[in-house]
Amino acid sequence: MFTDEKWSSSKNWFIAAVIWIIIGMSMGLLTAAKQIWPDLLNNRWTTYGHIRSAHVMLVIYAWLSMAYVGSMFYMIPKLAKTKIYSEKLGNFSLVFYNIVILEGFFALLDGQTSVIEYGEFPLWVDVQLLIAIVIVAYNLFKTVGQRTEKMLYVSLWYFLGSLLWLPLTWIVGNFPAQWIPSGVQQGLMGWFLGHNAIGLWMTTVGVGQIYYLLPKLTGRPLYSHQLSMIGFWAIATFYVWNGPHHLMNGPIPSWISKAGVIPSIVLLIPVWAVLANFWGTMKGSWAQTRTNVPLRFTMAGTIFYLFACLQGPLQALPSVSSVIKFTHWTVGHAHMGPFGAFSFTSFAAIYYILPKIVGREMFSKKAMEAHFWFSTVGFLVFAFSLWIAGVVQGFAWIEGVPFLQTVLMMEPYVQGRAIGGTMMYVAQFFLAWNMYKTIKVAKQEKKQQALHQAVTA
Amino acid sequence: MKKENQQHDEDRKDEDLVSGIKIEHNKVPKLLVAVFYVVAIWAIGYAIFMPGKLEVEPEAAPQDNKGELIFTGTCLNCHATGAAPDLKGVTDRLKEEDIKNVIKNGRNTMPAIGHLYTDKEIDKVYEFLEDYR
Repeated sequence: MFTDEKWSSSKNWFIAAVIWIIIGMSMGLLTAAKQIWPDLLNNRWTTYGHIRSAHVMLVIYAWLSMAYVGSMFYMIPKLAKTKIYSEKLGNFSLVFYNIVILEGFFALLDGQTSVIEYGEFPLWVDVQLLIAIVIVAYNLFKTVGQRTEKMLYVSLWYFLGSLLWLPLTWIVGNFPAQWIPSGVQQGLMGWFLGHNAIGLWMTTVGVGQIYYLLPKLTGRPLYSHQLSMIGFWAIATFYVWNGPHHLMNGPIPSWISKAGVIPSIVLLIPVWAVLANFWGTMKGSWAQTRTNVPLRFTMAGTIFYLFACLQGPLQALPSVSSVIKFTHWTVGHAHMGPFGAFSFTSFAAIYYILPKIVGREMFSKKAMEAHFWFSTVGFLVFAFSLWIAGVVQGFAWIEGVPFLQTVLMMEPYVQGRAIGGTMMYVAQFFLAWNMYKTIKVAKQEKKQQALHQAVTA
Repeated sequence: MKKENQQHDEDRKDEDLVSGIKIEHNKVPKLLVAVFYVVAIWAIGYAIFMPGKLEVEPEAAPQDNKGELIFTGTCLNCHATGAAPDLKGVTDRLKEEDIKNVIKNGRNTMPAIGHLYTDKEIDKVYEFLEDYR
């Protein structure tokens, strides 16, 4: 029933991921539109609360996670110099994972939620998603287990770590948090998942992707082994403590608060170490970004990663948090890592890997350019609207400006966000169309080749 | 020439090859090492000396205008709209006990609002009414 074809699971995970980015981002665009026209599509299924949580869950666990798994199904066997443990299991896990995501999607539209940000799916979906993740992890660990390369390349540390951390944070954030009825503990456990889904899954797999792509795309050696060690072990050690900064100035004990602030700032160490390593590798190759779109996506991703990780630690400080908390700023920041940094590296991964799988370069280079520029410019318009809005809003609240007035003040920024968001959304159609064309044309070419061979033979 | 070759060989020795990817062994940039130290020292200092939360100043002296606040925020919703009698000089027309009783238990169409306020707050409202004319 499930195909055993070489690289088929990687390709299929990518295809599913791109379908989900379109669905997931249309939820996001609807959310933005509802802030302009509050009565838009106001029915039982698509109220603001349902759509917003569906958007968050879909872009993270459907689009980004599937793109990650797709690239791991290619990169891990390549790095381990072996083939994937089981392509069949890979394709099975893809179908299963997608069924679970569909269940979660409809549960959210139906109004079922566990009210944990980044873990909104209800319990019955959480359990199934955990099983799906474990099947994927099992397959990939088995692949590394049968490796013929003795050394583990940096990307593999990150991938294997992430494949352990994701199920662990998923368990801690989703299960006890739904059984413990009291407020603060529940909030802390929920944010353990909330921040570690970002830090020990999105960030670490994304960084692993860049470590793989950079030397391949530039043909240059990786800059420093020592920096990769510092970056990996520092993030593995400190990231888990970041959850409490989401409850900054809230009713949590101050030692927990401090235990959240300090690691947030200490994160500058792994982030800068990793970036120094990337940019050291890039030395002398920056001109290539003019023509090499995947490389340009990767480098733009690293720049957005730097900015996300300058904002993040500062936002964790109690004084900064007291201004920007609950404002539009947070939304702008929350998009920079998952979209600006790691969706970009995933786009690069797709553009690098897909041609290797189908045996033909991407159908249209112009579509790749359009994809990059619409994504980048759209995101900048989107993010700066929200950041300006957030600062204005935060200080207006402190000044005691009547709340309704602060809502009206947000009008132009909310519109700017929707315009930027539309551009980000349109960009993804270039990706989807380009992928569809590439796969289709590659198939035709193969058929013709076979025919040609048959004739000449 | 020979020296150059030697240099070259040393560089080569510093490269590993893992899964077909070359890895160099460049030193960690000095600036980065400095940043690491600054961050580490900051972290220890923050852990020892900082409160970890914004310090909120205890509420200033008890509000002297509490009576007026309750009067404008609650009483005037009816007593200024014509829905209920004007309260100017009400302390001349009714005894202190009666006024407080009306606030607590209501009268005619006026609802009882005694459960919303403490006795002290009702005293303050009465004090305000004495000067309201």
